Amino acid sequence: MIKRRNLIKTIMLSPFLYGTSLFSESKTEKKDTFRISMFGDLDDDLIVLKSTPESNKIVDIHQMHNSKSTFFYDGNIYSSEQNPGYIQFSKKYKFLENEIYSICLANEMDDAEMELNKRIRTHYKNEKLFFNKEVFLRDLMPEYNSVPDYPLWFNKEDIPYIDRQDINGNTYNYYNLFENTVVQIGLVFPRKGNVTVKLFSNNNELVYIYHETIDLKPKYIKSDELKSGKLIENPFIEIGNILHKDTENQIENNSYITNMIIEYENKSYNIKLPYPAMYPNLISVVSIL
Amino acid sequence: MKTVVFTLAMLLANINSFASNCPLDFFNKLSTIKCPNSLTEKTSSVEKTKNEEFVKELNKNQTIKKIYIDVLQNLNDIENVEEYMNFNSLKDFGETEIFGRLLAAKALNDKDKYLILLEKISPYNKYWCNSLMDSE
Repeated sequence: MIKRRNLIKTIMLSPFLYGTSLFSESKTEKKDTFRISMFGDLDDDLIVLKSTPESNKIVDIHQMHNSKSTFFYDGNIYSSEQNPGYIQFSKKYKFLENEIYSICLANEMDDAEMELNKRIRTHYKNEKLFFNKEVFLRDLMPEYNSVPDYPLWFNKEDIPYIDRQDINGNTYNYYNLFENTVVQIGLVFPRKGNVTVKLFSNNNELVYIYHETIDLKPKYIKSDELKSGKLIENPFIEIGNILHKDTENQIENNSYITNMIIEYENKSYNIKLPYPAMYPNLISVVSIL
Repeated sequence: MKTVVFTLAMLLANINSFASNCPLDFFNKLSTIKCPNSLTEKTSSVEKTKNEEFVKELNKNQTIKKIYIDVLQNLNDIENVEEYMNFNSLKDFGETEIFGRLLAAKALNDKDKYLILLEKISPYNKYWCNSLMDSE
C-alpha cells in the first residue's frame, strides 16, 4: 500500500520535478551567441575583432586589396580571405568571459603599400551589416542615396574607369572616403548597461568620448562632442570636425584615430584599430542580453 | 609642393589599383545569376492537387528532403515550411549551383561544410543559390 502510494506520488510529482528543470532551463537559458551577416557589395573589408581586457585578436578578416592574404595586427599575423567586392558572410559568434566584439568595415589598399599617416580620400561602399536580424551597420551605397549630397568617386563630368552600372542604371559609384581607414565600427556586448568609449588620435590625444547605454536594439552612439554641438551631425564628419564637400577642393586631414578604450562593467578594453578611423559618428553598439 | 606631388602620385596609384583590381569578370558573372523565386512562394492551388504524389516521392529520399527543408526554412525564416513544398520549387532548387554543393557536403558527411553553405542561404542574400567563394 505504502509502495503504491509512493509510486502514485512520484508519478504525480514527476512533471514538476522534471518539468521544473525544463521550465527553468528554458526561462534562464543562457544566451551567449549572436550572428553577424552581410550579403552584398563591400569595397573593401570586413574585420571582426574579439577583445578582453588583456588582448585583442582578429577572428575573421576579409579583404579586397591585399593579395598577400596575410594581415599583421597587434603582434600577430592572420590569414586574410579575399573579398572580390561582394561578400556573402554569415557567422555565429559566442561570448566567453570578459569578451566584447568589434565589427569593423574598412577601406584599404594594402597592395599599394601606402603609409598610414598619408591620408587620401578615394572610393568606398558597403551594403548593410546585420546583427541577428537587425541592421547593425547601415548601408553606405550611392545607389541607395545612403548619404545624400556627399562627394562620390565618379562625379558628373568624370569618365568612369570601368563600364559598370548600378541597380538604377547609373554609373556604378562609391563614396569619396579615406583609404586605409576603418569606416564603421559595430561594438557587441554580452549585456545591457552603460559604456564609455574613448577615441585616441595618432597624437595620443583623447579626441572623442561617448557616454552611452547599450541595449538589445542596435544604435549609433553620439559623442559628448556631438551632443554639445562641437561636431557636425553628418555620418561622414571627420575627426577634427572636417566635412569634405567636393572632390575639386579636397580638405587635407592627416589626423586619425588609432585606438579606442572601452569602459564596461568595471573593466577597460584598449583596442587598437586594424586601420585608423576617421568618422566618429559611425560607431554602433548592441548587446545580446 | 611635396605634399601635392605625393597626393597626385597616390591618387594615380589608386586609380591604377582600382582599375586593375576591380574584378569586372566577377561582377559580370554576378549579374547573370538569377535565383529562383519559387522557393519563397506558397504552393498554388493548382500545385496542391499534385502534392500528395510529390510528397510520397520526396519521402523516398530523405537526404534531398532534409536539404530542401533546411533551405526553405532559411529562405522563409520559418520552421514549418509545408506550404512552400511543391514539385516546381524543388525542381528549381535542384537546378541551382548551391544544391549540388549541399548534396555533396551531406553525402560526404561534412557537417561543418554543410552548415557554412546553409548559413549563407538567407532572404537578404540576393545570390543565395550560388556559393560565390572559390574556397567553399
